[in-house]
Amino acid sequence: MSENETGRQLTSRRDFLKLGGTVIAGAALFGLGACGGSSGGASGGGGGTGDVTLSISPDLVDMMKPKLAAFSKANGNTAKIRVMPADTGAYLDRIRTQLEAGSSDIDVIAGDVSWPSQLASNGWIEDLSARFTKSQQDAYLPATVAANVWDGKVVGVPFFTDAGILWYRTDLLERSGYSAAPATWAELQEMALKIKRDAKLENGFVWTGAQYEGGTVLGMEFIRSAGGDILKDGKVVIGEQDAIDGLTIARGLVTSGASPAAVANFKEDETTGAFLGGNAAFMRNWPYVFGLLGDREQTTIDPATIAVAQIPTARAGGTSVNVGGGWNFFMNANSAKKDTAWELIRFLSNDAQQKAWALEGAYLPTRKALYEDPEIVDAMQVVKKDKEAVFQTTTPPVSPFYADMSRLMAERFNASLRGTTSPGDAAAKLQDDLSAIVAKGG
Amino acid sequence: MRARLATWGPALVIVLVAVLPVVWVLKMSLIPRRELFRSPPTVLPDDITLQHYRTVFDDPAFRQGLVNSLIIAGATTLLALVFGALAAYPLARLRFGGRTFIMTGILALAFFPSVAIIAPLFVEFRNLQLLNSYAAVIIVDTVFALPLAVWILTAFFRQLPRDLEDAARMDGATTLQTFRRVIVPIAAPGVFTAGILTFIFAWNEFLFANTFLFDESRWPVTVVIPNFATQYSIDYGGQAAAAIVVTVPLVLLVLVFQRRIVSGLTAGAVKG
Repeated sequence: MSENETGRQLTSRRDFLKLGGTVIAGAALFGLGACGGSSGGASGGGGGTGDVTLSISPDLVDMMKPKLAAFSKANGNTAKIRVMPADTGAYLDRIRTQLEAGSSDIDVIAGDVSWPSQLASNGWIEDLSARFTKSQQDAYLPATVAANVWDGKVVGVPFFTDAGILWYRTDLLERSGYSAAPATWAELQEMALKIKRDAKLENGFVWTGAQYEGGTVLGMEFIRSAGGDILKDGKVVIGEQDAIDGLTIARGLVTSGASPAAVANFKEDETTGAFLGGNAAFMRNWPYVFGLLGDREQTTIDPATIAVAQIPTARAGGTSVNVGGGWNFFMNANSAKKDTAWELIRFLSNDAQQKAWALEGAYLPTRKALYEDPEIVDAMQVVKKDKEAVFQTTTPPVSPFYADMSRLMAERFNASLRGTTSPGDAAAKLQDDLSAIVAKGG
Repeated sequence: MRARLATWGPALVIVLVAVLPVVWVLKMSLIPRRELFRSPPTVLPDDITLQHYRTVFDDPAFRQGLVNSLIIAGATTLLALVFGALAAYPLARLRFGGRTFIMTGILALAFFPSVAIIAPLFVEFRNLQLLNSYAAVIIVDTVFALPLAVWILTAFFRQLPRDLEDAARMDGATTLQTFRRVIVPIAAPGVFTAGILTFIFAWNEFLFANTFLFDESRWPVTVVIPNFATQYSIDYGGQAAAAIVVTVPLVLLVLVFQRRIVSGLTAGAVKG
């Protein structure tokens, strides 16, 4: 830990600011900590039992507590909760700081679908390939397992998943003479415009286009629905025509007036607020909105008039694609209690547990069998109404540099949406920038 | 009339800029969520609800956060006053070489952006095993609050008449006794000012607490407030209510001690 190493780390102020985090300051420094050799017990597959700690975001705490009590009672070792920041980005910053410091305070991490490669490429989370066997993996939706594979190793176990779905108002559609949800973006645009006129609505189609992770996800969804992608076999393909078509569709929704220009500032709250407040005919959002329909504080329209469908495609006859999220369990590579940690992961991701999360909190299961469970089909509207949307969910590109890539995509997608750059320019720039990021890592 | 406008115009602008956001947050904390997202927004609330206040006070993490804030800000204030007064008194009274240099040095400390030193501090606290303890935050908060405290107190001590100390010395008091028995009591307004400003600083501090404290049970309110959210949605009403709850004690504190704060701040400003 020489002086000039400290200097070097501190001068990378750009990284600092880029991550906007403060905790990252600690993380950046830990380039140092690690070279000092603070990571003591990182010893491959070694076991170990004892009391374990699980890190989760605050909104899951109330539901998680009784589950951990049940585990502790059955297992004999106690499982405790370590509450992390609610904001997913802040949570990642915090967990990186701790893992980089070689901390073994946390044994199991419940975290976002975009984290595995970022954490695994640094060796911070355990390779679970030996514990999470192929036959066990087969019980899960394939996409949710694939998102947890890094460098041929499976490093996480799916917890719950999230799917992008199209929400619409049946009453408004009928009034304008439509009987079914749109299948293509062009149809959606046309219907949104007509309904907006007929019903004198403020907005036709609302969605989360702001410059943040959700905006990245939406941009990727437009691109994939047009047949394009971000990475293909490790190569950046975002500059290709299909991807440009996807971004053009997004911009077209705004220029035509089908979506308000304000979608470039919309996150989930604004989007949901507009739709449930009766100011939009269509909305692209997550299934969590089902949980709000009964809440008269937030919903001013009749829930019976709300229906869901799959995300439209760019071309007629295409297969619907959506980009989803979801949470997974990872194991700290430095945990001194890996056997108990694994028992906890197994426990929290089994059928009974996933069913409880589905019924109590409307969290979509990742285990296939549960989609046939009558109680779940009955209770979860999205499963009853549109199971396919969940099965067609794709995940963000798997890359250890996803955080950097996402930031750039969010910026460029947003600029293209606002019209400050053309979709073609945005895609071309991203092609260069993302390629540079991938090359730097390779 | 015109002169009046010249006085009140800028004052009005300043009040609007400073106060309006607080009024708006107060309104956000009192209206139901559906009204929060109404477009165009309502100027005066349509509906009044105490729901958001119920949410924050029902949350054990928030209640614990208030206690933690009180512990951290209280300890910081105490430490900053003790060390600040001990440093300020000799700086105000004794003539010695490098006095100006020391005063400038102390002030320079206040100019360090906290973000720039947070990483080395993190490593230091880790090595000292102070991470995730109140002590870590209290120490840093004290260090950052000290410059202001020292400057305010120095200015205040300096304007006290020397005769008082001379009299005390005649009666056989040592320097420290004089300081404790004579100076501190009559310097109360200055001490109050330094204390309140330190308290406000530590009470509002977020960055250090957020970085050094991992355990929810030790988080001050400033760290708890952003967690009125889920991965999809931010509970703006709850956050607004929490912000109001956190601000009220400070406003009361300042209102109650207003006169003292002003007299403390202006100490030494005019040579008498």
